[in-house]
Amino acid sequence: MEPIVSVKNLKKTYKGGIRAVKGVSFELREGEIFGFLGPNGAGKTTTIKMLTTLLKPTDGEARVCGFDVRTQANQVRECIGVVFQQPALDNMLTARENLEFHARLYGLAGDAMRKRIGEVLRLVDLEQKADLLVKTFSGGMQRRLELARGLMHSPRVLFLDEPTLGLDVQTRAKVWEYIMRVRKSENMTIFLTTHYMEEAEKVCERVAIIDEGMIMKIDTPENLVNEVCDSVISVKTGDKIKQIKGVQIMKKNHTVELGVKDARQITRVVGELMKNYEIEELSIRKASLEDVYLKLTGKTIRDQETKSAGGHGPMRHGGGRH
Amino acid sequence: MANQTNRELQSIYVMWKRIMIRTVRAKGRLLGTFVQPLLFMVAFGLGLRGGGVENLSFILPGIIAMGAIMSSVMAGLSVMWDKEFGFLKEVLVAPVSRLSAVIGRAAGAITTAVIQSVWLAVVGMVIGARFNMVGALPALGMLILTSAIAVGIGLSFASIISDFESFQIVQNIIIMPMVFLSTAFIDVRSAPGWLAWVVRFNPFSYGIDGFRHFLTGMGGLPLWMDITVTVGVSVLAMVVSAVMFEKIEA
Ligand SMILES: Nc1ncnc2c1ncn2[C@@H]1O[C@H](COP(=O)(O)OP(=O)(O)O)[C@@H](O)[C@H]1O
Ligand SMILES: [Mg+2]
Repeated sequence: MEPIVSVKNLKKTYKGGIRAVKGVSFELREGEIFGFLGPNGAGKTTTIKMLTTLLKPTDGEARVCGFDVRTQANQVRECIGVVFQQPALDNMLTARENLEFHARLYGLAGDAMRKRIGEVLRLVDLEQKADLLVKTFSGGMQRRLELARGLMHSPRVLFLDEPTLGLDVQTRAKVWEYIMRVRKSENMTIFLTTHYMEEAEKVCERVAIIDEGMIMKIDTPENLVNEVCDSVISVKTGDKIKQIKGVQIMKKNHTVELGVKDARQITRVVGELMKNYEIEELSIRKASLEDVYLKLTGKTIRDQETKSAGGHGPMRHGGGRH
Repeated sequence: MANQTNRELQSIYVMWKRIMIRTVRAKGRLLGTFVQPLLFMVAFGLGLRGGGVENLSFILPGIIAMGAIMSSVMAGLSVMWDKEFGFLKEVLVAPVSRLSAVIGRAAGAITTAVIQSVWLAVVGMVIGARFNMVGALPALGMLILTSAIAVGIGLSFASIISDFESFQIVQNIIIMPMVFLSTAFIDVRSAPGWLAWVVRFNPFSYGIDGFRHFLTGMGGLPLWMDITVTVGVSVLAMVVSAVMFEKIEA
C-alpha cells in the first residue's frame, strides 16, 4: 500500500541561515499514529509547517495523500487537518462560530454543517460551552476545541503539533483521552509531535526521535527501548563505577544509570555492585524512551528543556516524569 | 468544479460574517466607525462654512471617501492581528484560493466603510449638503471600488510586514498623503499645474472624483476615465494582494 505521507530528504533553512531541518526522511502508513519526539528547537514544528503547506521547503520532497506539498498545495490542504502548537482560534467568536468558520472554508454548510458541529463538540465534551466566547475558555478547553475543529472535515491525516504543551498533568491526560477517542471514531492517520517521552511511548505506534534537525531513529517505542536495554539500575554512590559485564553506563551525574540488556542479568549486576562499591541508594526500573533518547543524543530532554525554557511558546510544566 | 465554487463562495461569506461579528462586538470599533469621521467633518466643515452650500457639497464627498479609505485600509490591520494571534494559519491551511480570502476580507471592510459613508452622507444632508439622489447608486459603486483599492493596499502591506509599527508607518506616509493629494480635497480644475498632475497620478483620485460626480455633478475629471481607471485599479489591487497573500509563510 502506498504510504499516506512520504518525506524524502526534506530540508529547511530559515532566512538568517538557521538550519532547522537538515534532511529528514520517513513514511506514514495509512491509519497509524506516528510521533515526532524531540526537545525544543529540534525542528518538529518546522517539519509540520512544511507538510501542511505553511512553509516552503528549502530542499527535498514531501507528499501527503499522494500530493506534492509544493506544487499541489490545495489538494494537500483538502485532505489534512491541523492543530498548531500555538493556538489559532478567534477569541472574539464563540466555539460554535469558530467551527462554522472552519466548516464553510471546507465547503460544509446547512444542516450537514450543523450536524457535524454537534458531533465534534460532543466528541470533545464541549456542547455545554458551544455558545460562549472562546476568550473565556481555559487552555485545555481551547485545545479540545481546536482538536474538534481539526477533524471537522474528516481529514485523512491529522497533524497535532504538541497537543498537550502548556497544559497541566490532568488536562494532558484528558486531551490524550480525546485524541484516542477521536482516532477510534474517525479512523484517521495521526502525525503528532511532543517532547513528553512518556506520552509518545504510550500513544504512538511508531516514533521518530529527532534532534537538531535530524532523525536519529524510527521504530516502535518497544523496539527502540528493547534495542537499548531492558532495565535501568540507578545507583547513588561516592565511588567511581568501572565497567561491569553486560552493562552500559548511560549517565554519570550524582546518580549513575546502568543499562542492563537482559532482565535475567539484574540480580548478578546488583550483586556485583553491592560487593564492590559503597552504595547509598539503588533502584531498578524498566527502560523507557527517555533512556533511548539519552543513549542516542547523549543528553536528556529535560536538560534541554530547562536550557531553552522561556525561548518560545507557552511553557507551563505540571508535575515531574513519574 | 461546482464543489470548489461552492466552497469559495461559502468561504467569502463566512470571512465577511466573521468581520461583521467582530466589528459589532468591538465597542471601540463602532465608536471609531460612527464618531471619528464626524469629528473630521466638524474639523473640515467649520473652516469651510463661509463657502456655503456649494462648498459643503463639494467637500463632503471628499470627507466621506477619506473615511471609507481609512476604514478599508484597516483590513490590513486585521490581518496583522490575525498573524499575531495565530488565527491566520487557520485560513492559510484551508483549501481556499487566496483570492477568496482577500475578497472575503475586502467584503467585510467595505461593508463597514459603506455603512459609515451612508451615515456621514445623511448627517451631511441634515447640515445642509445637497446630493443628487438619482446618482446615489452609481456613487456607491464608485465608493466600493475605491475602498477595494484601499483594502488591496492594506492587505498587500500586511502580507509583507510583520510588526504593527511598520503598518502604522505605511498608513501615515503612504495612505494619508495619497488621500490628501487626491481629488478628495483638491479640485483639479483650479489646482496649480504640478499639483494637478500629482493628483492625476494618484489612483484614488478617479474613484473619489466619480463618487463626487454622481453625488453632486461636480466632477473634475472625465467620468469615463474615473470609471475605467477605478475598475482597473481595484481589480489589480485584489489580484496583487491575493498573490502577496499566497506568499505569506506563517
Ligand atoms: N521563523 C523562524 N525564523 C528563524 N528561525 C526559526 C523560525 N522558526 C523556528 N526557527 C528555529 O528553527 C529551529 C527549529 O524550531 P522548531 O521547528 O520550532 O522546533 P521544535 O518545534 O522542535 O521546538 C529552532 O532553532 C528555532 O529557533
Ligand atoms: Mg514546536
